[in-house]
Amino acid sequence: MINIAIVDDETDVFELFKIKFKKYTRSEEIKFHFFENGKLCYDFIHSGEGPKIFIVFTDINMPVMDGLTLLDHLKRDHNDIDVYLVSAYDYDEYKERAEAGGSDGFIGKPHNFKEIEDFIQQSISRHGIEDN
Amino acid sequence: MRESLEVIYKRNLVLYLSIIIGIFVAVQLVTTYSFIQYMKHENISKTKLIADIISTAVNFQSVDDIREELDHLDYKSSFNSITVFSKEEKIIAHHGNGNNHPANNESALGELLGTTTNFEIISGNEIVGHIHVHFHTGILLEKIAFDLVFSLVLIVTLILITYKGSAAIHTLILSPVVSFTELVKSVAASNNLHQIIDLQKYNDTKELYELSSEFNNMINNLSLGQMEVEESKNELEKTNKNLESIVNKKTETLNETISHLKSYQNKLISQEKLASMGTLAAGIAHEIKNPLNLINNSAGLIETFIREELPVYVQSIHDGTFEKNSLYFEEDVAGISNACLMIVKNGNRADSIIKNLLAQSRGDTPDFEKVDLKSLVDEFFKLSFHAMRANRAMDVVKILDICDVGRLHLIPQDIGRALTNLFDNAYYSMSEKLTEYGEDYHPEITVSLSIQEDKFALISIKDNGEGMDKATCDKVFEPFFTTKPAGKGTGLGLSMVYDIVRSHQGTLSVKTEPGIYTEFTILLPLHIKGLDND
Repeated sequence: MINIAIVDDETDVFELFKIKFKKYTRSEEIKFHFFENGKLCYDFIHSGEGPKIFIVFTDINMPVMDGLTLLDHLKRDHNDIDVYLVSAYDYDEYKERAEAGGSDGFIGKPHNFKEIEDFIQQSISRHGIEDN
Repeated sequence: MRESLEVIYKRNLVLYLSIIIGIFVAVQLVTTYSFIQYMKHENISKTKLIADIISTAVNFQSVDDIREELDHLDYKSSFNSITVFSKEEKIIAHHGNGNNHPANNESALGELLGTTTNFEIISGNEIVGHIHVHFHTGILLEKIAFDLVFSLVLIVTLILITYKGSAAIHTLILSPVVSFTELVKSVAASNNLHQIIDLQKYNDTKELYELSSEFNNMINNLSLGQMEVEESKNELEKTNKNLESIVNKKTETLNETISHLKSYQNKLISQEKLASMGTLAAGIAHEIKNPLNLINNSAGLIETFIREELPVYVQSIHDGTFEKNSLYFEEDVAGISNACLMIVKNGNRADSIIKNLLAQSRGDTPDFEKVDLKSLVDEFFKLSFHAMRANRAMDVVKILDICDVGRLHLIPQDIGRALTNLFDNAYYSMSEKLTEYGEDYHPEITVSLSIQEDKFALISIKDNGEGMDKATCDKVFEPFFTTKPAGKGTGLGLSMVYDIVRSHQGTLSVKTEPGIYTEFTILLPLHIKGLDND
């Protein structure tokens, strides 16, 4: 099972993930962990008390800690986690910064769940190989 | 009280004459008196001499001897008579004219003038008789009379000379002065500068001639000056008229310029409004994009469920295998129901955002209404933040410390615009500082809302951006003052904020330190006079 973190201050988004990926959650291929901001997510991962997170989908604009900062922190402390950035601001500057920060992908809003699914599939197959 | 020269002159004349006469009379009296004294002394000496001469003869009562002695006297001519008395008061001898009994004849005048003398005749140590001499008064009287006449003549002569002299002074000085005065008076009164003094009249007197000619010169100059003044006056009038027309023209141009400026100002103000709306628009786009995202995705999920999953469940009902999946079905329906709720909720959210935008752009004059200030500040802070993020990729630490202050009477569009402006300025200042300092600088904005003294709502917006120096800070609320490069700011933002706050009977103040921070503070009264009766 793959643990995936979803970080967004717009908590309604969590419901969408739940509905969209219920197939995967029911088959226990994946499990979602939801966080309202980057700091909550980072603290969860960094404490090491919860299950190992493999993938992070994070919004950029958030209070307390934004997505780009979270990306930097994770790439610094937990380089093995795939981090995908999701933003309504489809700006080159954000994309550049995401790339520079070592993000594994950039997703525009509205959430393109097909794309997200592909990213999840990719990660599953990658980590599946690693697991073996 | 001023006295006329004439009176002074006459009084002085009388005074001087009186003094002269007085002095003369006094001198006369003194000389006459001393002369009389002198004569008296002389006469007494003479009498004594005579008494000495005849003393022996009288002792022996020898009348002949006495007569002889008397006849030989040198100064016989000065006597009128000499009478010699014996010890027994008997007349022994009488020499000269007149009465034999001069004792009866002795007049008071004679005593006074000293012309009558009495002297004792002493022989040995014995008084043998006495002598009575009556001197001539003629010489004395003549002398006195002569002196009197001489003095009188002298006085009269002096008076005449003085009078003559003063009359000359009168004609030479006093009357010209009077006539000059009259002339000056008449010139002053009539303003007729063609009256001049006949120089012939004063040809003989240097000073008067000079005075007259100078006076004439002066009159000439005056009349020339008057002509010049007249000319200048005419010119001035002309210039005045010209000026008037110039001023009128200028006023017209100025009025035109003012009306141009006014329309330009109005244009700028609406530009400023548009600019703040533009700022908001970016934030609003983001704000709408989020609910739209949720709505679209929810709708997509519902559609997928109905199209793909629902038929499977229906089939399972027919197959009789539904029981096995019923738990999943309930879960799915709950999820779909949530998705529906999300559509409704976010639809409303988008709707209210659009409404706000429309309210901002509405041209009509907005009105006061009771508004929850906390949510207003919160909403516009979010909008501004998203607007900033839309324009600049800047990480800003946001410290939001807003309390519930209740509902206030205010114009939400205006206060919203004012807040947007202040937030925007803060972000601008911080991004400028970020460009300058780079990664070492961490932008931080603090927004707080609280109640102050139970009377005011205090909104404070503090950034740790560039700050301002004193000169900038002093001008910051002035219209058209901007530190932004040309084309980036109208310079009306803060002046508009100021006007808005003032129109809410509030105050706007600023605290700043160059390079450290800027803090704008708005104080809004919780109750506005004339609107709140409670």
